Amino acid sequence: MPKSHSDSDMMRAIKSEVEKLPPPEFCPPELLEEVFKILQNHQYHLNRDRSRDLITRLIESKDWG
Amino acid sequence: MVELLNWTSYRGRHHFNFYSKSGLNGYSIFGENSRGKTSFTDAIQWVLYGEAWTKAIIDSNQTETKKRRPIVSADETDDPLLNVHAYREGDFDLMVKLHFDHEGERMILTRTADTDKPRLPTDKNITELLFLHNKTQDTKHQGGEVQIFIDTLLPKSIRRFFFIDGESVNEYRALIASTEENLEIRKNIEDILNFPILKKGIQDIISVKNQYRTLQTKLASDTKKNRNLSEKIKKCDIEISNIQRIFDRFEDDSKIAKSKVSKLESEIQDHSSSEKLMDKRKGIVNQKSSIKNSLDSLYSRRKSENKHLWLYFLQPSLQNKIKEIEPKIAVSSELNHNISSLFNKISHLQGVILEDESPCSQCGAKPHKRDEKGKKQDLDKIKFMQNEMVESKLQLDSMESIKILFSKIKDFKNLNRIKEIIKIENNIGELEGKLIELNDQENEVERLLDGIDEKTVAKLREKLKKERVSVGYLEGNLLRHQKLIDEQNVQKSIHKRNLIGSDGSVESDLLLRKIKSIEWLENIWNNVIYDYSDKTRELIQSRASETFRSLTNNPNGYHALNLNQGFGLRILDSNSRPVASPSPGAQQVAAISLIDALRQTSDIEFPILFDTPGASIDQGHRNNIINHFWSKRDVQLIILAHSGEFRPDEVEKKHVKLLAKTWELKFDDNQNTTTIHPRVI
Repeated sequence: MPKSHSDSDMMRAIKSEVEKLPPPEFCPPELLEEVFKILQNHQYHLNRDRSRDLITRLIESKDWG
Repeated sequence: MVELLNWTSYRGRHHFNFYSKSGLNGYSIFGENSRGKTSFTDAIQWVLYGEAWTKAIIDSNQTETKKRRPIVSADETDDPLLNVHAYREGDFDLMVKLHFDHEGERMILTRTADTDKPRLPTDKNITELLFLHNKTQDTKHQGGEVQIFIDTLLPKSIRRFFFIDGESVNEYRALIASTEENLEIRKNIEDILNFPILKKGIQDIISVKNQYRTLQTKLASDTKKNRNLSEKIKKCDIEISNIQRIFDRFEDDSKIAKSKVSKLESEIQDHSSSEKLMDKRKGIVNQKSSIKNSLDSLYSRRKSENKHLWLYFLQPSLQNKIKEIEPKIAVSSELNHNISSLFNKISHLQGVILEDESPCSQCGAKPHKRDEKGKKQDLDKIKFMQNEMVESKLQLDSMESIKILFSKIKDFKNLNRIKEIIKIENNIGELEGKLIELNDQENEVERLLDGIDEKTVAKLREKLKKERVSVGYLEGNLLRHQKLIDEQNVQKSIHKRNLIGSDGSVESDLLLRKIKSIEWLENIWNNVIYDYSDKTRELIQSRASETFRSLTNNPNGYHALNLNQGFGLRILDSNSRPVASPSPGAQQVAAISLIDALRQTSDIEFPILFDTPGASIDQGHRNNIINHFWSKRDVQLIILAHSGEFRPDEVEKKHVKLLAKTWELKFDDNQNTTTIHPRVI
């Protein structure tokens, strides 16, 4: 069972990278962690259609205005 | 809790209940060889992945071979999953059930083998069924979706880090440094370290970015199209505005003209009685003109008829003369007939004499051939008829003047025009009467119109006529321009309908924001991939070294473990030099240390099932391993040990503060089944 992603070393590494390279101002702040969660849940799936579809849906669900 | 039904050596129903109020995570299942320890771990792997394997056998070439265990077989050496005794006795029910908590919800995962009971089943006619019951939400699932769920619990590719077999150290030898990298195990390590989040993730992010790029290209094309359409719409608007201006001007002029018409109509209304009289007079004049024309024609006809009027008076004498001449005319006609008949006869006889065989034109008979006497008679006849014909002609000539007279008199015989003349006279009288009447009416109208300024009225009428023409012209122009405006509006609406969304600028901006954000994610992922592998390797190396030092009996003899880029493992001696030939015990401890470090670094939480952890290592290492793993509070560790490596009493006594539960497995020869005996509860 996956641990909470915020505990993971990888998430820490990603967050450290985000400090160096901040997101564009219009990028929803939660996007990165939500994309990470999708990729974490689908990391062992060979068929990538589902994860790609979920990322697209996630992006479309955000307010970009 | 793990429930088993006819699972390998477990004949009938059995269960292990791992629930403990102690909060401890140390579990142990003791048992001699072939008592069902490995079968227990196989049961958990089967319920998760639908497969179980025999232990690896190493041949003389150090090659490991293992085979997949069949579900059913009557032969014990095949290691079937269905208990052999149950199978032999016709009991084909096979089931493994796992009760567990996941994200605060109680789950029951069940895998069964569905058999065709009346027949002795083989693996070919057995269907495996997989069910998941979420007891908290009371939802049930089965088949493929359950398997997908299992993949999120513990992906198959990394199970080797959670189902550890101490007797199969060779499986982990590849973890120990060698010149050749073991690609499969390296991939498994990458999997457990969640590298797919980065490696597969970056492909996903790029794929999503490309989808949006495609959209952007399409939108750009749409925007170009939209821009053209917007230009056209703008042109339509300008055109409509221009036409509208002209329309408005015409409308203003039309209003003025209509107002003038209305005013003139009102003025003319005051002269309506005079106008009526003038119209009446006009009508009278027209009627008079028409009657005069008719009269002129009648006068002319009467004059012509009067010329032949004398014939009327000659009619009686003409009739008498005709009566007198008619018998002579009849004689003349008879003479003509005789002459014609004589002529034909003469011609015929002349032909006969000349031996012409043509038939007679009168009777159609062919002539007899004449002898000389006959010919002479014929000639006499001809002479006689010729004389007769001459006489008739003379008589006819004498009647020629009578024939001419008759023909002239006959022309006048039917010229009775008197009735026609009377009719004309009547018409003339009637029309002349009407004319007088109209003259009277005209005089009356003239009298009524006396003193009225007819010119003013006529001028008004003329003016009104002109203004009406003007209104007509303006109305026509209004209609024409309205039609032009309508046409432009139709064009405009067609262009508007073809517009995609708006003019595309808003969509384009939003799309650009999305793409920039995805590109930012891509950059983050790329940067993390670049150095996360190294950092993780260093972290695992550090964690594995720490574990190794706590597990080894000779912490001063070893400095650390070293991991190369391919996660190959080396044991470094106290001088930080690689140990050339580490002992099997050291290798196993190093492998266990690495597995533990990988598991710690991974984000997967799953109980560890450590089968015969003491194989290849001495008692000191065994105690260290138990101490190390059972001390961990974050994960359940189930050790499956045989008495050769761990004595249950000693272990339970020594690690009483770490143990949650222990069991001992025995075999009941009477029942032909493994029996489970709880020890520490």
